[in-house]
Amino acid sequence: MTTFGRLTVGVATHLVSEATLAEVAEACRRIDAEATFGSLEQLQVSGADILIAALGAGRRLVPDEYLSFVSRCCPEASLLLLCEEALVRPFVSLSEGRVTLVGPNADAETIYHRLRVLLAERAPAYGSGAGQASASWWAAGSRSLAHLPAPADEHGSLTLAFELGFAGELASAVSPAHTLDPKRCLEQVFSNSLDVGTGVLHFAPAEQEWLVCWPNLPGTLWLLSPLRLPPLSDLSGSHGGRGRARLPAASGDIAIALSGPPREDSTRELLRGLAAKASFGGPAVFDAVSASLPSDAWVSVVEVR
Amino acid sequence: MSRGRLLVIDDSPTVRKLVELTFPGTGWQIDYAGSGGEALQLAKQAVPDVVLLDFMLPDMRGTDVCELLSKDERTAYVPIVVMSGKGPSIAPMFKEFASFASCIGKPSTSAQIRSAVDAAFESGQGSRRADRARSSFKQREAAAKLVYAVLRDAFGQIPRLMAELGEAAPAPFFAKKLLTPELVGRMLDALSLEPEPVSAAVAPSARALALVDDSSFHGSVTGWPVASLLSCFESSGRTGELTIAFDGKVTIAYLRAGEVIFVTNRDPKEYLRGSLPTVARLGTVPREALRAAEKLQRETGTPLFVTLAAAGFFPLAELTEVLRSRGRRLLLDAVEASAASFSWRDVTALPAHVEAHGRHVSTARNTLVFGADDEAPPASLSLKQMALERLRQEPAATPLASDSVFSRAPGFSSQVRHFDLTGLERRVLALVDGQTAGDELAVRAASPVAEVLPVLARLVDVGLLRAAHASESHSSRSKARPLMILEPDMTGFQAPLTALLQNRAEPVALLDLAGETDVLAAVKRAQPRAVILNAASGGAAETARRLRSAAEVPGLVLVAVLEPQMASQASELIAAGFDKALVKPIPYSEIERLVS
Repeated sequence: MTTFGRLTVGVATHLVSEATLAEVAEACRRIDAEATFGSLEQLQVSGADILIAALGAGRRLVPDEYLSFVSRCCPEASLLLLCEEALVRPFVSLSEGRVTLVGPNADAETIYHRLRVLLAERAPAYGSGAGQASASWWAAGSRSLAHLPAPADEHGSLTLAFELGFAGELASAVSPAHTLDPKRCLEQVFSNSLDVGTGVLHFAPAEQEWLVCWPNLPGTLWLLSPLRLPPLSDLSGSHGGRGRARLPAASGDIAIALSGPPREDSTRELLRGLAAKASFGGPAVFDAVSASLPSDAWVSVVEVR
Repeated sequence: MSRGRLLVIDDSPTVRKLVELTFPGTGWQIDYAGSGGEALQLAKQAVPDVVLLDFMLPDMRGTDVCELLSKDERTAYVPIVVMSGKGPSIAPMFKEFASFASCIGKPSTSAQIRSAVDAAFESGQGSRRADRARSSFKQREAAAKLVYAVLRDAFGQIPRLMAELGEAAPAPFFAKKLLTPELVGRMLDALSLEPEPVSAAVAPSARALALVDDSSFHGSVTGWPVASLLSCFESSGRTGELTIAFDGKVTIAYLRAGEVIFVTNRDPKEYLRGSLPTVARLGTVPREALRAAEKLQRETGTPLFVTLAAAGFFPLAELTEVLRSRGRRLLLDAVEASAASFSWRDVTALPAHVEAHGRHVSTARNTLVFGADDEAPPASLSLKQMALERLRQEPAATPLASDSVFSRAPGFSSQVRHFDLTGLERRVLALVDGQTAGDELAVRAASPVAEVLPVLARLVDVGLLRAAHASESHSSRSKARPLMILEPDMTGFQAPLTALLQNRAEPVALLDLAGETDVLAAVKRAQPRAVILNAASGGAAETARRLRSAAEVPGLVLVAVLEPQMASQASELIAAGFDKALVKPIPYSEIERLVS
């Protein structure tokens, strides 16, 4: 239903409070989506790329009429459900990304970033920084991720490879991700023949697993999640991490790869900001990190949906 | 074009929706069952081609479902794909079942589910053809033996009859002499099915009940609803007393010619539950009379209203309606039970009060259809929803103490899907937190107290909420077994964990073991449900050994937290007595699993 590149969002106003409707409208405005507000019946006539609807307090079942909308009326549409259920924190992606549940008291910021993820999945050519997404992940880079194999392979997994340079080089001198062939780098990881200056981040949705290979070089690799203990971990070898590791992945995980350690004076502020942004998901974290980096540094962010 | 029938057995709405979105347009006809009992009933009604089975169900385990399906020849060959969070590691538990096809993880992707189901379907087609052939051969072989047994004596007469044959045509002659109507009748009798057993986990058919000559018998129902049992009796046309025991309750139903006409129990308190207006009218009854009526009900099952009416303490004009209303409620509870034992005895003369006030109450699967003067409920309504609808029409049901606080009842999430709730009911459900009294909830719900209290009462009555006095609630919360932790990272571990634990429906206290010189003594004192120890703090293995050897802390869950660089020590710590070794950064879901 996307017309001339503009996203259409249908908002089923039933059960949505006026205050929340205002937040939804603001989120649609920020993402430049064409929003239509009305009853589900009206929206079935107009159609939409994304249906935003609400679940009543205490409800945990996705109503059939919503499912019918995204499976029969608009088979390509995604469903964003605003829930009043504390167990949805901060958001949950179901049915291969077709259904996204957003936790209680969703504001414009939250809805906007979820819309970004859905938009990335249906329109990967929205430009640098807009991100790419599959049913299981969302990824974005401050420089183009155009060379990402998307969807990465037949299992929907994602591999990012980074040329980190050698110890002693300036962080700004390291290369952006896309100069390497991720698939080839992953094979090298498995055969233990990876170049010492290469970092690899691999997410396998089928196994729900991260594979990390990060040498002791200036690059930085963080794992951030509001549902992990600790919420922020440093997985890069240069910061006392494991260097090479497999660890279980979980919905809400956000991996942040930086070309080098952030400036000492901004690190504390950045970390504090990240903790707050984690509950908004990968796009918000990406914005926060991008804004704090020098112009010649790069960042890549991957969110597990 | 229809590919086949898929039976999905899982109480998770998420999995249902996932399956729903996995198979559109593939030709699969999908049935859903939320429990093992429901699944077995569905499988008998429409035999599936493939079963997608969750390992953990509300009423039984996946292995139980496999066993019950394998005992029924109609479903014994249906291939079963098992879903489990432990993935293929549980496959050995199912190896004994010929119908077990494969095991997939949970959660699985749509592609994995589709692939497993398709593979199972293909394998099932082959084995089904073979099974049919085997089954057909066995049936024919058995039939041939039966026919031979009947004809053997007749064949023995052939030498004698040869002398009489003479010039007659042999075929008509022997047919006339041997295939007498009596012999053909015996052959047909021999080929008819044997009566089915009544008890055990297989639903008795109405025919089986009719064939039970005993005037009294007992049995049990597991894996299929009590409603089916009542349907069987209904079809059998028998008159008598059926006693059903379930969930610690006993309900007595009187049947006349197969119809349930009267329902009672021997527990006056339970009998009166949910009938505040009627109970209020008993306030003027002398205490001795009330006690005597209750005693009689406990001894004989005669409802206390019958006794009170006979003594002039309850209006006779209203008696039939009250008895019918109470009986319906008891029956609603009973037919919802997934497991029960029952006993039956034929009664030629029903008790006088049953004869006088008994009204027809017929049962149908998932619905009850009452007498002609009642409005028949729509067939799509669940029994629970019907109970709620009825309570909505009554004034407040359960009397509520002014200091009652409310929390979600156990099994809330699986129960709530049976209900179609009003806006206010949903708001109230979202607001209960186990600490707030009804009047405060009304303020938060922005609704009058007079409206919110009845809502709370009926939500308690239908089992979605439970009420407790504020003091009891506080006391039970303070008694909740805490989680003990020895973790030096306050900001990265303890603080966020505390926040996450407080967000649970039933918050769990986190006790810091830092500074404790004697961990064992602290654990004995606090009796926690689990102890989380950071292995980097030193002496973790020794602490685990000491805790494991202490008799005072049985069943304690011991968890080691490892820094990433210590991951290789996990097996060593498990050997020392830890139940689990978790490597940072730990998903909160792992902790939640331990706490739950």
